Order: sequence, then structure tokens, then C-alpha cells
Amino acid sequence: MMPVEQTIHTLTPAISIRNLNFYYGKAIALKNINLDIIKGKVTAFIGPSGCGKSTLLRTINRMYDLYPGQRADGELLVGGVNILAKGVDTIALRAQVGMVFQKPTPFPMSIYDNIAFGVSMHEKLSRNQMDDRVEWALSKAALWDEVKDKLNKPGTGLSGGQQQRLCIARGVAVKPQVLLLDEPTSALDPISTMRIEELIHELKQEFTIAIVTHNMQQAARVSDYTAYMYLGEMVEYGNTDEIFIKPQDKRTEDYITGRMG
Amino acid sequence: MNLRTQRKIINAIALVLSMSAMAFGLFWLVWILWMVIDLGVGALSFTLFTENTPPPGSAGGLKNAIVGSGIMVGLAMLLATPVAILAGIYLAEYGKRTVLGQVTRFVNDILLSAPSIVIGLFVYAIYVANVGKFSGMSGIVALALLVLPVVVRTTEDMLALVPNALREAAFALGAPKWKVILLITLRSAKTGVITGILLALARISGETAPLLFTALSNQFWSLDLSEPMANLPVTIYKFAMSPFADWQQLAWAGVFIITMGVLLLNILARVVFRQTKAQH
Amino acid sequence: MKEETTKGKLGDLLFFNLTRAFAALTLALLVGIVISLIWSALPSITTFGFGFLTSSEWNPPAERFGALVPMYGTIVTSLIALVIALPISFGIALFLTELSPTWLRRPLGIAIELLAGIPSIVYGIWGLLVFAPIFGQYVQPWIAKTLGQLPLIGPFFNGPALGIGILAAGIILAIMIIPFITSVMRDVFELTPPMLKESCYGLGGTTWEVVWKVVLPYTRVGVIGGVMLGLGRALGETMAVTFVIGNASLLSNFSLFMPGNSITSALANEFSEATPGLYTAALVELGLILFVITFIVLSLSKLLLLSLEKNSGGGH
Repeated sequence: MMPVEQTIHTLTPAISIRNLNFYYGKAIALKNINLDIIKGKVTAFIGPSGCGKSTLLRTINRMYDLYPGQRADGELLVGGVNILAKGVDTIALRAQVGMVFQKPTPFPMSIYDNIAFGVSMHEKLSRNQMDDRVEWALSKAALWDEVKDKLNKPGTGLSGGQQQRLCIARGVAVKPQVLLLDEPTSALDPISTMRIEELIHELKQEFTIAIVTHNMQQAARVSDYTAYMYLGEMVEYGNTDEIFIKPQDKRTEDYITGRMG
Repeated sequence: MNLRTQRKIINAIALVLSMSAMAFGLFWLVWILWMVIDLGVGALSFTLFTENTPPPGSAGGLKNAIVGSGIMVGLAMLLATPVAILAGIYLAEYGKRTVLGQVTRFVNDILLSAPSIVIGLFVYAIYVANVGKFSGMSGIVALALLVLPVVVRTTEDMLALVPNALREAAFALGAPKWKVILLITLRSAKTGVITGILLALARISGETAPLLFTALSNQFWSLDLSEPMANLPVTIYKFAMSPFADWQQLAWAGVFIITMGVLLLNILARVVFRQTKAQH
Repeated sequence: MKEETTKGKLGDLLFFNLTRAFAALTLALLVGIVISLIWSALPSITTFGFGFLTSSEWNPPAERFGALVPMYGTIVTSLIALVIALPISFGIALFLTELSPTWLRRPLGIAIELLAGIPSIVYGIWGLLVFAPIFGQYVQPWIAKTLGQLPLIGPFFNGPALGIGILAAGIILAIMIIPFITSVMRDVFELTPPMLKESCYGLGGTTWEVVWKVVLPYTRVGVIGGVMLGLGRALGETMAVTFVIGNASLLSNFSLFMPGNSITSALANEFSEATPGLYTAALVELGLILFVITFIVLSLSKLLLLSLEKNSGGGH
């Protein structure tokens, strides 16, 4: 395990997590997590249901703030700033850290407005600049060709896979540094899933990506680094190839080989 | 101004306005209840329950009105509840997808929100106009017609909440459908149905408009259902609109009794309903 | 055993037909209401025809009747109620679904719903004896000085500050329908998938932006249904309006400070004293008009809410 950690440490982290604990009321959900999410790479979080991988993702953009009784302590550095500290501007934070959810969540507005809505919250753009940005984002999400003739149609009219790419485009359009993908393909068919996976490959040129997935093949296919979590703890973290080929921890091995979870 | 600051200010203003709206709503509740208690408690006395409504300018009570209201509300409930429960059973258990079921459900919702004064007019047209005089019985019919849609609706809703597995389990034992419905389904939806009955009771206890053309009012003690019958809401209406201090005093006492009674019924219905939720 | 089964079947048949008969009774009731109202109003309908809807004359001694003044009163008081109640209900629903601490949600929600439990006659007597004097003395002069000075809408807010009148009736109606609209808005807001809201928060949206740009558009059909429900209530409300509207069958100008009459207040005040014949028939026709208006409003609200159910059932 040591050599792997060292190679990770030589790279630039986009997010550094130190001694992170997370609580739902009195119940502890994440125990002393330490981890660097590397800039410009894809990091996958795997583990059985309830292991805390989604919770970890929702801590990075402070989504848990919405729910009373949920809290985190420790340090979570995004761009060198501890975002768990008091007085952090969550609006600014979420402009830097985008998120895509388990199910497609197009807003009840046109395809164009779905993209423009988020952008207009953070930047004042002229009509032309906004048109360019919408095209750029939709192209990034490999959706432009399919929707360019129906930008004024409601986003809810697209197919499930298209809706999810619309949601990715919506997140990308704000130009965040980090994209959090919370089981982004769990509601999609295999072909749509494949397209999203290809998209993740493309996107890591420009964004740091953290993805939570139930699907281990998916983690193996899309990620550079993989973290295995179990019962709120970080069991093992390292190069994806090494985690899948020769896991160091017995628990990781059991999960990967299908003996558990 | 920075875009983000601007957005935060708009957000703050909206949230403050939202809180003000909440305060605005509570303000009226508190003001109305406070006046009802303040003016009502002062007007309360023992003679309210022992003396009949007085002629203008003299003291008296509300005995005939309270008893009259009790009789009419009670009989209206007795008349409407069984009919409504059976109709509700049809909608939930037999007529879910039949044309009769769909149309009845729609019509019932229209009746549920139809102006109560129109119900009064209807009873006047078919009953009072034909008999030729106002009567307690016509008031009972009008109130019963207000109870009907409320209980139909809640019965249907509550039966729909009963899990199908329960019905299937009873059918598997070879029970005929009517027994399953009466002994199993209806019984497990019991508290919900009672909630509906309580809400209907609360609704008609304070109803005034439909009684204006049916039971009217009666200054004297009368238990004869074929004669005009005294009742609290119409008495309050008459007394409150009058220029006499004694009458206005009695009106406030009546308002206090009716408001507290109706609010208690509302709260009781809520408590009962909470038990239903806990069961499921 | 065999006898048992036959008895069961007979029981089933009886019970089925019994429940069906009572369901059909509900249906017959509505038909009965419409027919009996039309029948009783027939003398007025044949005498005045469509002129009934456009005439503002209400003259019992001369037996000349027109519905314009009470229709105007009913519609205007209901619109005032809606204009006030809509933003207030939205604010309360927003507070109860997004802002309030969890432990306060239930008690505050119940408090607002209790507003719907207060009998309308209590609103009436309170409105006449408590609210109207204060409203006339302090609020109306202030409104006349501010809104009354504006161009275009100024004339609506001028005239003697009597307390009672169309504006006072509209305000009390607003208080009465706030709980209905709030309750529907709250229910549909809670139907919004948390993930959709989180998506907007995740882009850096504020609470206001989430509610205004995402929750409200997502639930708009339900919200409109709730507004219609409230409107239906306001149109049919009798006692509260009768107490405070002022009961004047004249329409001299458009000031909302003036006393007026609504369909329901005309019925409540005049019906039991009306002479049989044309006078009674004209009043019944007013009731019929009211029933038709509320029927249309409620049917629309029902259809909208139904289409919402279908939508949320089908893949949102």
C-alpha cells in the first residue's frame, strides 16, 4: 500500500480530505477519512450500499447543509480552502464543484434554459456569449448534434440517457473545477451508460472527476484511482489497476471478487 | 454590484417576505381567536344553558338554540353517514374504474366544494316550497347533504389506503366479498373513516347559510321537526346584526361556544387521524 | 357448505347493489340540484332572458331584476381575495416547506389550517364588529392617501372610509382562503423530488432560486389547481361576506371602498323575506348563476389536479 500512496502524493490534489468525520444526528457515517482527489484524474468510490461513498461526495459540495442534523468535522480543502469551516460561501463553492445525480434531473424548462440557468447565476453574459456557452457545454456532453434543432423544447422531453447528458452539460457549463458524479448511470440502459462512460474520458481533460458507482466494471473502466469504502471507513485507496488486480486488504478483495456486498 | 451579492440580497428579501407571510397568517388567527375569547368569555353565564332566547331588550340564554343545533346536527349525521359510507365503499371497492364510479367521484368533488347556500336553496326548492313552511326537518336534510360528500370522499380515500394483500388474504380464506369489505377492509380503515365523520361534524356545526332558508330560527322552545327550529348559527347571525346590546352579548357567547366546539372537533379529527397514520 | 356459498353469493349481490345505489344517489343529487334550481328560476329566466345578466337594476317593488350588481360583487370580492391570498399563501408554503425548523413545521401548519376551521359566521361577526371599524378608521384613509393617489388604479381606492364595503369583504375572504391555497401548495411543493432541488442547489442556487425557478415551475399545475380551489371557496362564501359587504344593490362607481352586494349576500339577506313569484325566482336564478360559476372553476381545478397526478405517475 505504501508505494501507491507515494505515487499519489507526488501529484497535485484538487481536493484534500483530512480526518473527516460525518454524522447523521448522533450516528457516525464517515470515520476519519483521509484522501487526496487528484487534479485532472477520475477517482472512483466503490463499496457496498451504506458504506458512506455517497455521503462523502455530498460532503464535498456541502449538500448536507440542506438537512438539519447532518454535520461534518475535520478538514476538506478545495483549492486550498477548508470548506467545512464556518462562513464558507456554499454558493461560490458549488459554482466550483458541480454534481450529477443518480437519476436525470432536468429542470422544468427548455433545453437551452436548462444550461443557461446555472450559468446566469454566476456570470453576466450577453445573449451571444450565452449562446456560445450553451453550445460549448452541450458539445462537451456530446449532446449538441442531437438537440441543436430543438433547444426551445422542454428538457423533460429527451430520453433518459440524453437527459443525463443534459445534466452533465448543465454542470459543465458553469465551468467548475471538480465534477461529482453520484452513480450517474444507475438509472440508464447499457448503451446510454456506455456513452456516459466515454464522456467521462473526454471530460477529464478539463475537469477533476469523482464518481460513485455500484458497478465495479464501470469503476475499472473509467477511473484512474479507486477508493474502496466499507462501513464508513476508507479501506483502501490507490491506482485503479492495482486495486482491481492485487488488492492489499482482504475486505477489498472479498468485495471485488464478489464474495461480499 | 457583484452578481453573487445581488442574488444573495434577493434571496434574503424573499426569505424575509416568506417569514412575514407566515406571521401575517398567524396574526389573523391570533386576533380572531383573541377577540372570540375576550368578548365571548365575558358573555358566558350559567343562564345561557337554562333560558331560551329572549325578545329584544331583555336578558336570556341560548338553550333552545343549543338544543336545536344539537338535534339538527345529530340527526343530519345519522341520516347521511351510513349512506355516505356505503357510497364510499362502492367507489373504493367496486366502482374504481366503472363509468358510474368515475362520474360519481367527480360529482362528489363538485358537491364537496359547492357553495352551501346553494344546497340551502335546493332544499328550499324541493322541500320548503312544497310543504309551505320552514321546518327543522328541512334544516336536517340541508345539513345532511353537506355531510354526504365529505364522508364519501374520506371513506373512499381511507379504503384505498388499505393494502391489497390484506384483502387477498381474506379472500384466500374463502370469505365472500361483502364480508371481506365489512369485516376486514372497513375495519382496518376505521379510524380514517371516523376522521372524516368528525370533519363533517365540524363543518356543519358552524354552518349558517343553508339554515337560513330551511330551519330558519325560532325564538321559543320547540322540538317539533315540522316547525321552524332554533339553532346557534342563525341566532348568532340575527343577534349580531341587531342593535340591541343584550342580543349582541348573547351572539358573542354563541360565537365562543361554536368556535371552541368546532376547533376542538378539528383537533380531535387530527389526533384520530394521526393514529391511523401510526397504524399503517 | 354449498348452502354457505349460495348465501355468500346472495350477500355479495345484495351488498354490491346497495352500495351502488347510494353511489348513484350522490350522482342523482347533483342532477337534482341543477334541475330544481332551473325549475324554480324558470319564471325569472323566461321573463328577463339574457337581460338578467346585463341589467344592474334590482327593484323588488317594480319586479325588475338584474344580476349585474351581485355578480360584480361576487367576482370582485373573490378577485381581491385571490390577489391578497396568492402571494401570502405562497410565502407561507415556502416557509413551511423550506425555511421552518423541522419541529415548528407541524404546529405552524396546524395553526394555518385552523384558520379554515373557524366557522364563516365567526369571520362575519368579527369582521363587522372588530375588523371593519379599525379598517375604516386607520387603514382606509392611509390606502386612500397612497394607492388612491396613483394614476389608473387610484379611483378604486377613493371615497368615504366606511370600514365595511367590497374591499373589506375581499380582505376577509382572503384570510379565509389562505389555508386552502397554502395547503395545496404545501402538498405539491413536497411532491418535488429532493434530487431536483438538490440539482439546483448543486449549481449554486439560493433557496429563493430553487423555489422560484425549479419548484414552482415543476408544480405549477398543482398550484393553479389549488388557486382555483381557493377561488371556488371565495365565490361561494356567504356569511362572512354578508356581514361586511354593506348590502347595497346599487353600483354608482368603481371604488372598492363602496358598499356592494354579492350573490350570496343578496340571497342571505333577501331570500327568506322575498315574496313568492318573480322575486323568489330571480333570487334562485342568482343561486343558479353562482352554482354554474363555481362548477366551472372547480371542474377546471379538478382537471388540472388530475393531469398533475397522471404526470407525476408517468416518469417524472
